[in-house]
Amino acid sequence: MTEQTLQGQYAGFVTRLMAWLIDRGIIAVVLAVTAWLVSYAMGVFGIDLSQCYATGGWQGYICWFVTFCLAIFTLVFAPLYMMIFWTFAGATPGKVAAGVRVVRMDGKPMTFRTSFRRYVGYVMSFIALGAGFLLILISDKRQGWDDKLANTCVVYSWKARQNETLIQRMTKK
Amino acid sequence: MPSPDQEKTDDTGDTLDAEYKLVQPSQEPVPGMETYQSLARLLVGATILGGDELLSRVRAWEEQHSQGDGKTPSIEDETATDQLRYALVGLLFEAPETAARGVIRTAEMAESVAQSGERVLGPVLQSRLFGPVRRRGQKMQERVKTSVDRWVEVGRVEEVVGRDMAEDLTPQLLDPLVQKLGDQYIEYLRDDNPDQIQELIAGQTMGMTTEFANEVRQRTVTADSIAEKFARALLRRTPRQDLPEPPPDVQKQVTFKSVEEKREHLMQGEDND
Repeated sequence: MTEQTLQGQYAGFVTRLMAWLIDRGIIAVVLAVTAWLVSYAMGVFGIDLSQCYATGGWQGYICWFVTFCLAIFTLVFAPLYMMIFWTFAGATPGKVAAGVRVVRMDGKPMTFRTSFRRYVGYVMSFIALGAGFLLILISDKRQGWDDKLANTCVVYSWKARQNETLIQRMTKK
Repeated sequence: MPSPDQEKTDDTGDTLDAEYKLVQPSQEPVPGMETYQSLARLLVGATILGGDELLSRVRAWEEQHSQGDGKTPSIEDETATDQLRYALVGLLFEAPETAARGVIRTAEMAESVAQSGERVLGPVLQSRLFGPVRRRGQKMQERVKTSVDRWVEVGRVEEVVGRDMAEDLTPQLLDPLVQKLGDQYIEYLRDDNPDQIQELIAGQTMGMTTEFANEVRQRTVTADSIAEKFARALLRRTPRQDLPEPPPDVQKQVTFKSVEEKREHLMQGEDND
């Protein structure tokens, strides 16, 4: 007898929040390590990235240039990380850990254009103070603004089951 | 023990004395015998220790199994072959006891016969005519007794020494052997079969990781439903009974049965772009 699972069903808010938190953690670690490595490498040449305004000559130009590059990298890394993973794997590492996957509602594989549109929806949801994400809690297909804009949804990719112990504990309360 | 003077004066015992000296152990060790004696001590000690250990294990095992249900097969179903087999098994158990009783009875009979014979032949053997023969017999008896006493003494000492030797040597011999075998086994696994070891460790690690991940995922799945219930109640919306079923095309994307199927699906996406 095969057990009924939720695999392929729409994933909820908490699971997606957990995936997002894992991704943010990974992004933060990568950015921190990169910043430290660049700062250390500059220190070898006697350039302190936090003191660019006080550094004169060619070293000052290099200092500003590296800081600018680092800022650009910080800005583009997160979007690229999200979009590249959505496009080529259908899920970011955080989503893989949480056992969910981004899929298109028409059943076709993810493309970079869909991923870009989805990321725009992400940004819009943030601008709206997370209102776009809260829509996941009440929408029928558990879609946020990002999903609606890109015509995607997030589904459980593993043989998902409810935790009976947790349900029983909640029911007692 | 006969005195040297007696030996000198007794002409009938001279030949016997010479023979006895041949078998008497010399005070000086014979070359090569020390090795034999050491090995014999070790063998005796190991046999005694091993025997004790085996006996204790067998007794423990017997006690363990005697607490069973003790079912015996029904007598009605027994065939002649079965009965013959049972008789042989029974004989095997009773034979040592029967043999011991027989030996004791034989010894008693021999003693009784000897006493009767002594009573009948006593006057003849005590006569002057049988003097030399009697003295020779007594001398032989004394020497046999001396030899047996010496063997008992040697055995008593050597058993203790052998047991001590075996107790000391067993760990010294076995520990390096076990270590050598262990090292060889580890080398065999590490050098000759590294893939199997890696697979084993990876499998166990993966198993634990997967179990932990699944537990966390299960909790988040449940938390999804609870959070929705709470949010809907807050917004005064009717609680959701069941989620709508996603379209089959959507579900298909997470349930690929093979890598080929998934690759085909991805190729289809590239074509569409």
